[in-house]
Amino acid sequence: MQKRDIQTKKNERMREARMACGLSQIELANAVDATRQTIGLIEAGKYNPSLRLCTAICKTLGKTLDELFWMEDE
Amino acid sequence: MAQKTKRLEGLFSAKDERISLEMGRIYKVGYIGMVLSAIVAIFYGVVVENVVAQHQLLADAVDQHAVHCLVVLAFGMCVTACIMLAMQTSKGIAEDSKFAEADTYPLAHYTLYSAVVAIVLGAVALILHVFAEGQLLGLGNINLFAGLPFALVCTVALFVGCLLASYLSYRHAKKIRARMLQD
Repeated sequence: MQKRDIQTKKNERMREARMACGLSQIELANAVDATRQTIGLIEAGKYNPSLRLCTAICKTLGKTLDELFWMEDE
Repeated sequence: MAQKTKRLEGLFSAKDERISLEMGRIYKVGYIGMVLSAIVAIFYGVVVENVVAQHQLLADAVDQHAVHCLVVLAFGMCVTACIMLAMQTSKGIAEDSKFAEADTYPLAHYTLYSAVVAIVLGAVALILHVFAEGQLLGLGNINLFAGLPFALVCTVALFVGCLLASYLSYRHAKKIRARMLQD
């Protein structure tokens, strides 16, 4: 249950960062060479992206890996 | 040039890492399925020959009662292809290209794809017919147009079949995809 909470929190961070940049899922997907569905699944906590994709997302959203993907309590 | 190459690559492989990962797993299952089908078909052919030799059966009896090993191979390949298609659509993926998760049915892409598949396989059927005639009747008796009706039927059937299968798998994959994102 605790793990699920962490996962949800992490994905909300990414969704919030994307929205703060004014990007839609499709725009972010195009910027990082992924599909809209993959971005949706990452935000929904159903897909663990590779480090390459994480880095590309962080660069596009102007955040660090820690800010978007680090799980504090793991 | 680099842009053209990238666009061409997109037609044959997905740019998305999740799709590449899932398709890699599915191709692995396909590879194992195809190899197993070939091994079973070959073993079956050997075993039938063994039984014929042991019981001194006539070739007619074998033709009447035994399933041809090519049928076993075709059956195995069909089962494998169905499993691969089911695995693919259950992940919400329509195919391994940039249209893997398209929001609208890419009709032009699938029409072109089906036409290329149908024409290539129709041409292969025609060439093999000529080859078989040359083997069985001799090189002097080859009729280039004798295999044309069969090749034409193959081409039309493959075109319609491919287009229909692509539409049905696309529709099913899209439904699954929507469900995955909804949950």
